[in-house]
Amino acid sequence: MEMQDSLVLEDLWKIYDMGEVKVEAARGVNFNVKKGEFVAIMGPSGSGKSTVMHLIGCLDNPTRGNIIIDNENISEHSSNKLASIRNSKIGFVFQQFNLINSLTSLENVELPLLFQGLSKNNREKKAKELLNLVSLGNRLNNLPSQLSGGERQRVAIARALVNDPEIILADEPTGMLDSKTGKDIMDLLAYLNKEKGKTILIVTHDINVAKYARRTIRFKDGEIIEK
Amino acid sequence: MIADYFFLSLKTLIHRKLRSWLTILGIIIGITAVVALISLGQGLQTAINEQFSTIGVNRVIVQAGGVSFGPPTPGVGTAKITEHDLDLIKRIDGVENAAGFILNPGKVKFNGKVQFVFAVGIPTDPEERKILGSRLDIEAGRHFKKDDTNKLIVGHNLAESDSTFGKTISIGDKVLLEDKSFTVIGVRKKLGDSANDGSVMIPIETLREIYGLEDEFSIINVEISKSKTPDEIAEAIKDDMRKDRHLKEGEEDFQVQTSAELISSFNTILNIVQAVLIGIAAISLIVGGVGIMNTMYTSVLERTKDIGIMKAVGAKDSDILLLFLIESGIIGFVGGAIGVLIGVGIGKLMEFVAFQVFGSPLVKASFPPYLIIGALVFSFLIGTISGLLPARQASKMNPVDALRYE
Ligand SMILES: Nc1ncnc2c1ncn2[C@@H]1O[C@H](COP(=O)(O)OP(=O)(O)OP(=O)(O)O)[C@@H](O)[C@H]1O
Ligand SMILES: [Mg+2]
Repeated sequence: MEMQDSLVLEDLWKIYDMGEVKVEAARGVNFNVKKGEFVAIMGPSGSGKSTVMHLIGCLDNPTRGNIIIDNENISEHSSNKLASIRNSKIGFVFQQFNLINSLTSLENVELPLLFQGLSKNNREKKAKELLNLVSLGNRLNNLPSQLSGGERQRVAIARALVNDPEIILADEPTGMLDSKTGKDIMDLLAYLNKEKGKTILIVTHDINVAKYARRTIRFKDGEIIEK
Repeated sequence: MIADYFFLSLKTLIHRKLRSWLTILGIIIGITAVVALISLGQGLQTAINEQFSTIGVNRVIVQAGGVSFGPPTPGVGTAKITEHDLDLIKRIDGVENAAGFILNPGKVKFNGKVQFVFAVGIPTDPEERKILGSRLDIEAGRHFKKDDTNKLIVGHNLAESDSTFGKTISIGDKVLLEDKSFTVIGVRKKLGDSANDGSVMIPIETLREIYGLEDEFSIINVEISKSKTPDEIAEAIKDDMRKDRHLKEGEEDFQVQTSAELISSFNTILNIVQAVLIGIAAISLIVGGVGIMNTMYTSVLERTKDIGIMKAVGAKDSDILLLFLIESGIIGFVGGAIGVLIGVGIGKLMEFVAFQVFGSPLVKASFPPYLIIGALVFSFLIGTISGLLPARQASKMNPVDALRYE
């Protein structure tokens, strides 16, 4: 049986119009990611890696081209539909963790479920499960400020997983962490890929991090130079 | 769902304690002012209407002079109301009965102290007194009888408090009015205004003798028969008195008012005063609303990143809008609730102070349910309306731009 595509990018462009100058951050990007794949994206700074990740994550709209997630072309979706794709099909892990500072670990992880309309009981049950999975079962009621960088990133990963998404997108998830903590995070992602069958796309500058992936896509000047 | 949003909003409010409280304070002040002012105004209105009811409803009141308020002073001005007018009025068709009394400043000496108080000259005939209303009733002792001359009834305050003469006046005491000796036979019912409660009453004939007032009255009360309205009788009295005095319409040197007119003219003044005060309070509420709007804009700006995060994990535009509206609504509502509590407190305090210091039960705070509920609903609305624009701005943010915000 042929493996299904989890993600397809077709001639994807992102042009930032800065008035005088136009920045072409993505210039006709094409690639496929199969279900259950673990793909690393590398390339020099400013080559458009984050731009493409944001487009895949439905956080920004492409200038043109198609993004097909789980056989659904989302390029023309309304902001409401995009929100629901973000909520149900995508788990995003950021370099800066991006947790809400006034909420505890548990509440941060519950957040995606809250916007799904799940009841408090169900939310808590699932969020606790995932915080246990990332070994933070003893940090449920801590605020982000009371956690180490590695712990915060694990909370962020738990949050990315809580909706049981199709794809996990991680933009330099180890960028703010020391190499030991970074390795823990990567081990966790590798486990999620192997044991839970999650499709993972990870942007990194670190060759050791890229080694976890079975495939590396290289960017340069908004274009792919190696798939 | 809404409950979850509610708690989420509450959390962020608690997180920014000081700012939240300062914003809430703006609403508290406005609502406090509105509630206190309306409650006192309402109370005052009720009390004044009660006062007028002691004159008696369906009465027509005739007094000397042009249109003015306050007790008329006999002897001042040329036009007087006299026994002749009383007879004239009594003869009018539809007039059941009529009676008059005199109000005159008097020098009273008691316990070695001299004070000036109002001396009220009233009929000794109980039937005539009844026409003048329950305000002449007594609470202790006895009332005047025919042939009473040097008898006197003291106002409630003179019998209850020693602040006027250094000693309370009791039934049986001797009191000098304009150096003539009177025996106290009764205590007048408490009315609530210091002029009446500090006055003395004597038979009208005696008063006329002392002050040389011949046959005049300060005020004549007219009781009307059921077949006529007070307005009709008032017109008839005006007509007849004009003819009798050879005056043209508009030149009257006397005043004829129905008790309803009197009440409504007082209420009109009171309503204007209230409207002005509430207008001022309303301005402070608008300022409070602008304060909320300002705080909400700052809040949106400060939490741009949080908005980005919430959108990244799947919040819809409408979710963000709702969150911020709830937040500003809570600010408004909490401010309103606290404002209502403080406003009620201030109203009660004013009532207490007025009673303790001035002995006046006139100042009564009243809190009708519509005032409380209205204040709460209104403050919640101010909150949400002020939050509308900032919340819209928050909800329209592009997730990636919001996330990039530091
Ligand atoms: N909002 C924006 N407005 C204008 N230009 C932008 C914007 N975002 C990114 N760019 C430009 O697009 C190009 C690609 O940026 P991007 O962030 O995708 O690079 P990157 O590969 O992620 O780099 P890094 O490895 O440093 O994170 C850069 O030249 C950047 O200046
Ligand atoms: Mg980047």
